[in-house]
Amino acid sequence: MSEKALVTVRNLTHIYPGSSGKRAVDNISFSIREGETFGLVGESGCGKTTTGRMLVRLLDISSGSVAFDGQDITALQGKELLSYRRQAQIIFQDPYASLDPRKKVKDIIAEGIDIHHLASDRQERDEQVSRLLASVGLRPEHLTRYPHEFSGGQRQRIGIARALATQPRFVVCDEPISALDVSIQAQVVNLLKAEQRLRNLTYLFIAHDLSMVKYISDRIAVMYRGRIVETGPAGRVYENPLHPYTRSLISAIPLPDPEGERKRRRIPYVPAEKEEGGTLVEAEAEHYVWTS
Amino acid sequence: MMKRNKEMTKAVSLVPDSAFVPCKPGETEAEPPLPRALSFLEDSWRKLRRNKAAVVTMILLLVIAALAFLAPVIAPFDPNEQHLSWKNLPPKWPHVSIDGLNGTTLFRGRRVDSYALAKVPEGQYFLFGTDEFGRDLLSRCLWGTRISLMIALVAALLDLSIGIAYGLFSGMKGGRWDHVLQRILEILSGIPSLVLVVLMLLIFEPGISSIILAMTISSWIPMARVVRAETLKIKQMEYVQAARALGATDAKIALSHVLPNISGIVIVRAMFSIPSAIFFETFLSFLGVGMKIPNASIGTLLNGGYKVFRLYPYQMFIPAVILCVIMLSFNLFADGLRDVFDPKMKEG
Amino acid sequence: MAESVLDVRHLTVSFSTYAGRVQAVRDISFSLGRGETLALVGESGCGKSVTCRSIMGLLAKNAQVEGGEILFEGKNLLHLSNRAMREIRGGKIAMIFQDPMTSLDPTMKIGRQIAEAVRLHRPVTRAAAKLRAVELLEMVGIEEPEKRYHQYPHAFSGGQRQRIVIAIALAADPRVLIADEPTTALDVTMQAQILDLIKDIQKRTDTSVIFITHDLGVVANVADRVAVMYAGRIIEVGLSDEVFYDPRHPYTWGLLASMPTLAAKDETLYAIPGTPPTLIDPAPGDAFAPRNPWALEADRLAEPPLFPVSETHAAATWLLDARAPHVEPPENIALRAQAFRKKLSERSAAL
Repeated sequence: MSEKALVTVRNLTHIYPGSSGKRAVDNISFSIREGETFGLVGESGCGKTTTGRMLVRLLDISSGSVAFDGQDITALQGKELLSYRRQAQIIFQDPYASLDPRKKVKDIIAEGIDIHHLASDRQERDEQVSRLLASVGLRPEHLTRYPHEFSGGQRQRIGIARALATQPRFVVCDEPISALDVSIQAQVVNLLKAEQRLRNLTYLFIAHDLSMVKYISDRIAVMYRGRIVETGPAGRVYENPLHPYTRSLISAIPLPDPEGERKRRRIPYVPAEKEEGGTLVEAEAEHYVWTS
Repeated sequence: MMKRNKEMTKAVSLVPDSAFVPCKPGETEAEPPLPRALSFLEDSWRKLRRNKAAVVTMILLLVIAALAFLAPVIAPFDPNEQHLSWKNLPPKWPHVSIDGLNGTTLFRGRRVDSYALAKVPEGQYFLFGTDEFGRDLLSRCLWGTRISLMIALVAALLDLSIGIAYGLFSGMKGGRWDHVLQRILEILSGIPSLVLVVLMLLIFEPGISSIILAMTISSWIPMARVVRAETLKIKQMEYVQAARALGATDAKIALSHVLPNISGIVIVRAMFSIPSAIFFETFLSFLGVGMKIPNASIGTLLNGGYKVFRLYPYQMFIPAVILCVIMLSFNLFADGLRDVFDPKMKEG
Repeated sequence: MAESVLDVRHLTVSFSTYAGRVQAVRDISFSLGRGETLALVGESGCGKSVTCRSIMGLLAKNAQVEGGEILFEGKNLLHLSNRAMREIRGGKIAMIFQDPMTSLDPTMKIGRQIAEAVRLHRPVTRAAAKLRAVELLEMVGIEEPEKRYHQYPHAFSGGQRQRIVIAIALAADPRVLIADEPTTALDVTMQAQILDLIKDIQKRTDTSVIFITHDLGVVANVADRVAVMYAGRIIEVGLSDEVFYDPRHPYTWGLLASMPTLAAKDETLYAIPGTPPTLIDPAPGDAFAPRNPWALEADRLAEPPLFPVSETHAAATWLLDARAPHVEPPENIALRAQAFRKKLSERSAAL
C-alpha cells in the first residue's frame, strides 16, 4: 500500500432525478489510496451503493468531482470513458441478478475482454477466460454452463472473474458477500484479498456488516443519510467510535458469543434535530468525525 | 432415549475399527460435480409438453400450415375455376352414405341426388361441395387458409421487426427520446384501422397489399409497448449494469443482453397477435373491402356463404369452422407458451 | 428441561423434481420446551425452512413427508385434516416470515389486518378485536397505536412493518412462534430492536420460539438451544453455550471460525472449502465429509449418528467415537473453549 491516493472524491453529490431534489449522497469527500481497501458502511438507503455506482460512472454525478489517478473522470465521455471503465470495475451484491441468465459462463467472463479487445484471437481469449476461471476456483468444465446451474457462492466468483477480466486497478465491491451463506462468505473474502495482493488492486468495499468490513478494510467511512459521519483507520473507528451513530451501529452487531450477547446493551441513535451545517473534524490522527 | 441409544450402538458397530483413520488429503473432492441443469430450451420444451392443449393445438397448427402451404399441389381444382352447371353442390364423400355428406339435398321433403341432377360424372367428388359458381369449396378453403396464414405471418413479422425495434430503441434511449416515441405511438394507435382501410380503397385496389399496409400502421403497437416496458425492467438488472460498467454500448446491451432475456415474452406476444390479425383480414374481406374477388380467403368464403345460408348452410358452416379452429389453436397454443415463458402474466 | 410443547421425531421430507428426488430433510428429531427459543441454523438449502413448513403444514405441492411425526398437544400434525390444520396454523402455531412487505396486504389498513387475525381464531366482536389489535400494536412497540391503526403498510418503515407482522402472529396467543429469518431483510440497528422485541414478548407470554437463521450472531443473541443443520440433518445440537464455546462437529467449527473476530487482521480467514452438496441421490456416508478437513474413512462408509456429549449436547461426527483419533480444532475454536472454561471457573470460584 502506498500513500498515493488513487481515487479522490470531492464534494460528491447525487440528487434523485425528479422534482423532490432529495439528496441520496450529500457533499461527501474522501480518498482511497492505491492498494488499500476502503470500507463504506451504513444501513440501506444511506447512499453507500449510490456512491459506489457514481465512482464507476453508472450513475450521474450531480455535483462534485471524482479523480482517478490524477485524472478528472467526472464528465468523461466516449473513448476516455471506455478507458476508465477498463480500469474501474464493480462486483455486485446479488449473485442471482448480476449474471445474464441466457449467457454461458465463458461469454459472461469474456465480455470485458471482447469490449476492450484484450485478446488478439479466439485462442488467446479462451486462455484468458480459463485462467480467470481457475483463479476464482472454478473448473474448466464450468465454462460452457449457464449461471442457474451454480450455487450462490460460485456465481459470485464468476462475477469476480468478470470484473477482473479487464485487468482493472480499482474495484468497487458492492456488498459482495451479504447475499451469501456464512460458510461461503469467508471463501469470497479470502478470494478478494488474495486477488488484491496478487494484482495490487484497490477496493471500495461497501457493506452493512461492520465486522466483516472491519476485517477486510484498512480505512472505513460510516455513512448516514447521505453523509459521511465518521472516517478513519478501521481499527480506530471500531475501537474508538466518536460519532453516536457509529457507536449505535457497533453496539447492534450481533456476535457469535452468547455470553457477550447477554451482557450487551444496545445504544439507540436519535438523530439531532438540527442536521444542517457541519464538517468533518479531525479528532485524532486520520480519524475524522462529523460535527455540527 | 433408550431406543435412540440402541440405534446408535447398532450404527456404531457397523463401522469397522480400521475406518477410524483420517482420509488422505486430496481424496475428498470439496466441490461436488455440478449437476447438469436443463438449458432454457430444454426446460421450455419440458414445460410445454406438460400442457396437453398446447401440444394438441401445436400439432393441429402444423397440420393446417402444411395443408395451406401445399394448397397449390393438393387442391383438387383451381379455386377460381367455374363450372356453372355444377353450382351449389353439397359435399359428397366417397363411400359415405350419411345425409349431408353423400351429395343429396332435401327437396320438397325428399332426398334428391344433386350430383346426378347436375350430371356430374361418376367418381367426381366435392368433399366440401361447390359454391354458386360451381367452384370447388375444398380448394377455395385451402387457398383461403393460405391467405389467412400469410396474414398471420406478416403480422408476426411486423411485430418482430418494427415492434421490437421501436420498443427496444425507446426503452434503451429513455428520457426525451422515449417520451417523444411514446407520444407518436399514442397518435398511431388513435387511428381507426377500419376507416383507414376504407379510405385506402380510394387509392389502392382492394387486396392483400392494402390489408398489409393497414396492419403496418398499427398492428405492432402493442408489441412495441411490451418490449419497451420489458426493456426498462431489464435495463435495471445488475447484469446490464455490469455490462455497462465493462463499457458495453447501448446497442450491444440491447442486442446481447436485453433481447435474449425478453425473447420468451416476445414470442408469446407475437403468438397472441396472430389470431387478431387473421380476424382483421376475415372481417375486412367479409365486408368486401379486403381480398379482391374472385380470390378466396376465409372472409370472402364466409361472405359468399352467408348469403345462401338458408339454402346451402355448408357454404358458410365449413369456412366458419376452419376459422374457429385456427383462431382457437393459435390462442390455446399462445396460452401454453405463456405458461412456459411468462408465468407471471397469468397471475396478474 | 421444561415440559416439551412440540416434538419432531424422525421427520423425513423429500421433493420430487425433474432431476430426481431431493432429500431435503433426513431423519430430524428435536423437541421444543415451553418458553424456550430453539435456533435452527444452517446455510440455504440445509432443510431448516422445509422443517418449519412441515410443522406449519405449508409444504409445496411436490413435497412428500416420507416419515416421522410432529407431535403438538398430543396430536400428530402430519395426520391432521386440512381444516384442523388451518385452526392450528396462525392460531396455536404462528409464523413470522422474512419479508414483511409480502406478508402484509398493501391495500388493507394494518389495524384491520391485525383485527381479522384476532377474529379468525377467536369468537369475539369487532369492537373487542379492535381493542385487542390496538393492544397488540402497543405491545410490539408501535407508538400512538390508535392513530396508526388506520394507516396502510406503506406508511411504515421496514422495521415497523416487521413489528406489525409480529403483532399479527401474536394475535391468537400462539404457543409456538416460528420465525423464519425475521431480521435478514433489516438493517443491523433495526435487527437488534426486533430481536429484543421477540425476546421481550417471549418472556412476557411464555411462548416457545423456533428461530430460523443463517446468522450465528443472531443465534447467539436469541437462542437458548441451537440445532445446526447441514444437508438435511441436524449435525449438532446443544445449549447455546455448548454449541458456541465447545463445538464438536467440524462443520460448526468451520462456521464459527469463518467469522472474523474483532482482533483478527491480515490473516486469512478460515473458510470451509467447497460448496454444499445437492441432495439428489446423496452419496453414502457423511454429507459433510467432502468438505471436511478432519474427515475419517468412517465418514465415507456410514452416516455418523448423534453422539451425546452431555445431557443436552450431541454431535453427529465420527470424531466422537471412542475409536477415533484425537484431532485439534482450528485455533480460534480452541481459544473460544479456553476463554469460556476460564470464565466458568472464575464464576464458580466467585460463587
